This record gives sequence, structure tokens and C-alpha cells, in this order.
Amino acid sequence: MICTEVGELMQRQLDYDLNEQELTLLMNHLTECDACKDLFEKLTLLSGSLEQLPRVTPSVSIVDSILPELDAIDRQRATAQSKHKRYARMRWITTAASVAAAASVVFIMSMGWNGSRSDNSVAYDVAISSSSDTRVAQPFDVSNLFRDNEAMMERANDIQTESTGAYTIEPLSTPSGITHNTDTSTTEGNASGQSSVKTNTPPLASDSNASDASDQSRNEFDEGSKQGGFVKKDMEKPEQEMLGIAAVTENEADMEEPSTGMLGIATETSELAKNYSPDEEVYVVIEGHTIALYETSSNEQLRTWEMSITGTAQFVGWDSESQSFIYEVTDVEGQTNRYTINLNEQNE
Amino acid sequence: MICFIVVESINEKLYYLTKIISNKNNDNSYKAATFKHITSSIRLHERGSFHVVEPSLIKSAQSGDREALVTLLREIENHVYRTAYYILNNEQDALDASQEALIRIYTKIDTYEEKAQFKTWVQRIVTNICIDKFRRSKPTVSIEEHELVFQEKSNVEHDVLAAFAMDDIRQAIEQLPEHHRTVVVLRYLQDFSYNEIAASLDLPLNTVKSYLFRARQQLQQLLQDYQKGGVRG
Repeated sequence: MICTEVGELMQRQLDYDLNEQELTLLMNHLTECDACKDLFEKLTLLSGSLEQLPRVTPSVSIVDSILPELDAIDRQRATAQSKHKRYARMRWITTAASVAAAASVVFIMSMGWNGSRSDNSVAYDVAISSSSDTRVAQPFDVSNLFRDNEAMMERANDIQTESTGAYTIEPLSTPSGITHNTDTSTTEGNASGQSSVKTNTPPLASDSNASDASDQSRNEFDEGSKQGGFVKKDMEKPEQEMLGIAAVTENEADMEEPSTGMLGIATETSELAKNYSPDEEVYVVIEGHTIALYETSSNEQLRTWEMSITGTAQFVGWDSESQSFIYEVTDVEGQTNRYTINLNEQNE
Repeated sequence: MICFIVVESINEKLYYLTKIISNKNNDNSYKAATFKHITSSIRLHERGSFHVVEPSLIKSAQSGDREALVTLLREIENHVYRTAYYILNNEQDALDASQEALIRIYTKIDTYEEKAQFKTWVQRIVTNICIDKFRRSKPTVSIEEHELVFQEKSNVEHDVLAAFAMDDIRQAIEQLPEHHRTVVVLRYLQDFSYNEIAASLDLPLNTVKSYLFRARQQLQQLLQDYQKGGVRG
């Protein structure tokens, strides 16, 4: 047996890795080879010493010392989670357009089949807002909105209180604006026109009709809805049918972006959609003809811009740097124009 | 179960012990050395370094039970610290590394998979952090400082059987390359098997063996130099 081979046996013996046969081999060699015997004794001594190294313990409890940091991690995670959801929604601004457009078609078509009268405007809210604009629509997790968007919360709540379980949303107190909306719509005959004006969203055929956030647009809107024959018909859907559709096309309905078609409700209830910048430093609120920029931390109004034309304004999105945002205005002709406001410039 | 392993292991050694003593060879000095070695390894096991974290505790911690997770950290904190202490050879660095490791375990507990042993998963985290620290900072601790820390903070065990002074051993371990040092620490301070070391360091089994064997040879050489009054460090 060669000494180098024995070297490994020695080492493995130090780790109790030898079987009986190997151990015998080793021992036999050691009786014959003084050099190996000497080395083995030294290594054995070393290994024994290493095994007796003190099992040191920390002088203080390390876990106690990091508890505050662990708490901070928990808090960070909680906020990161909500942030993540919000950003996820923001991203949809650019990607969901085509899907939403398809959803609109589904709505328009399904609604066109039905000619009976509705006595509930809430169903309209769902349908109209879903189809009112195909560009800004984006999906949302209903639960997110409870945190992020007051106006949408109310809408969501309204849907729930009126529906038969197509949506599952936590109940909230019914806001006055919506209540008002429901009341007016129950007056027979006026339902379609009134409820539409309340929401101030261009009904269904988004490019052929438009309404305005201001009261003066009411007449204009009525004009518009008369022109679009099928629009009026669509307004006369019974609630149940609407809900059925909503349930079938649940995913599409869920894609409703809170800022879409919220203008009317916003002006009436002063519950406005806050469009947060990606860095969340500021948010934009569109209120009638005014676009206002607020600081998130203080809710202080930083700047305002007046829209130059009359029409329904909708927030489109922020750039990733939070330096500019885009909104679009659909005028009474159904013309949609996009505008970019750069925060670093004096004029839009 | 743990007790069973220990008992079995001790029995095994007693068995070898009898075998050796009854062996026909009559070399007394070799018998004595082997005997001492075996008894010391039995003593090692009696010191109770075997500790297994309850799988149910890990499960609770993974499912989001914060209290369970903190309890889990408390159970492993000494093991984490011990490894860090012997790799970094400095109390403050060891505390820092242990904190970092425990925080990482806290945030990554959901990535632990049962197919790995929990203790090897933990040691992988702490050794990675230590090796990182080790690479970033050149050893600046003087012998005096390190001895001071050692006497102040550690539970120094005076063992007349130990042939080498503990300080010498720690000094020698510090001379080892990082991977050799880490293997030695896991073998002797965590009582890991070759396989457990391999799993912790993500190294092939043969590499673990060769590191460990080479490390022991280097240590032996260093300690011999120390004893002969050679230059330390």
C-alpha cells in the first residue's frame, strides 16, 4: 500500500468515514510505516483540537437586535404590495386598449339586441362606462379601488347593491351622487337621457356621441343621443339582462379604468379620480374644464390648466419619468384629441 | 431520533475502539492516539451540538406566521453566529454577518424547499454572506485585538487534552483560503457530514473532501510551525 493512498484513509478516518475493512487496512499500514504513523498522530491531535473549539455564542441576542428592522421589512412589504398593484394598473393604460375595444364591441352588440325599458340606471353605468372610451380602459382588481379611487369605489358599491351577485364587492355607504342618480333614473321615460347626463359619458358609440362635464353640455348631449338611434335603444335595457351580460363578459367589465367616464360623477359628487404619477409624488385630477395637479403628500393643488375646448376629458397616462402626462378630449363632434402636459413647461 | 443517532454513533466508535485495542498490533503510541481521538469524538457528541429545527415550525414560518418565524430565527441564531465567528474571526463582523443572514432568512423563508435540509440551507446563507464580507475586507485584525475579543466574549473552554492552544488554532484557521476555512468551520463547528457541507456550499462531494483534507494538512503544518516558535500570522 502506498502512503499517498493511506493519506486519504487517514483523512477519512478523522471524519469517521471508514468502514471496518478500510480501517484495518489503515491500521496495518500504520504499524509498518513510521512516517504515516507520525502524520496520523498529528492529524488526530489536530482534529481532536478542532472538535473542541469553543461553541461561541453571541454576546447579545441577534434576533432582538434585528426586530426593528424586521418590522420595517414588514411595513415595506405591505406598501410595496399596494404600490405594485397600482403600477400594474398604470401599465395597462398602454397595453389594454385593444382588449378594451373588443370588450366595447361585445357590449354594444349585446345591448343592441334588447329593446325593453330599464328602470335602473346603475346597469347603464356599468355598460356605458365600459364602452364609453376604448383607449383608456384598463383592468382593475375591484379591491384595489377601495384604496385607490374613491369615485370608483362608489360606483363599484352601487353595482353591488343593485346587482344580483354578478360582482362581489365589499359594501360601502352609498354616496349621495349615486343615490341621486338612481332616483332620477327611476322617473319613467327620462331614464336614458338623465342617467346619461349624470354620468356624462359619451354613450356607447364613443366616436359619434360625446357629452360634456359641464351642465351646459346637457342639451348638446341630448342632441347627440337622438342622432345615434341605437344608442337610445341601448339605454332601455332591463337591469337583469345587463347583469347577465356583465357576468358573461366579466373580465371585460372589470377592465374598466376608474378615471374613464368618471367625469360626470366627479363634478356632481366631487369624488374625483386621482391619477398618480409613477413616482407618486403628484396626481392629476380632471375636474370639468380644469386639469389640476396635486402634491400627494399634502394634497395641495400645485397647478391648474384650463382646457381650451369643450368636451369630455379623460386622463390617459403618465410618462415613466413623472414629468409629463397625456389626456384626451372628446368634443361634441366625437373628435378626440390628445394633449400632453409637461410639468416643466408653463403652458400645455 | 437525534439521541438515537448519537447513541448509535457512539456505539460505532466503541466498536472500533475495541477492534483497535484487540488488534494484534502492539504499537502502544498509535493505540493511545487513536483512543484519544475516538474518546474526544464521543465527547463531542455528548456536547449536544445536534439540533434539528422542528419541521412544523418551519412550515408555520413559511405560511406567514411571524411569531413562528421569529422563534425559528432564535433557534438558529447561535449556529449562524458560530459559523460567522469562525470564518470572520472577529466578533463585530460576526454579529454583522449574523444579522444580515437572519434578515435574509426572514425575507427568503418562502424560498426554502423541503428537499434540502434546513440547517444546510441556513449555513449556505450565512457562509455566502461571510465569504462576501471576507472578500470585501482584507483581514486587518491584529493578534492582540483578536485575542482580546476572544477572551472577552467567548466561552473559552480550557481543555487539558487539547494539544494546541485554541488561539493558535483560530490563528491558523484564519490563514486558510476562504473555501478551506468554510469547509473546516462546517465540519468542526456545525458537525456537518461531507454531504451536508457539499449541499451547503454547492460544491461537489470530492471537492469538499479535498478542501477539508488539504485544510487539515495546512493547519497541521501551521500549528507545528507555531509550536516550534515560528512566526505567527
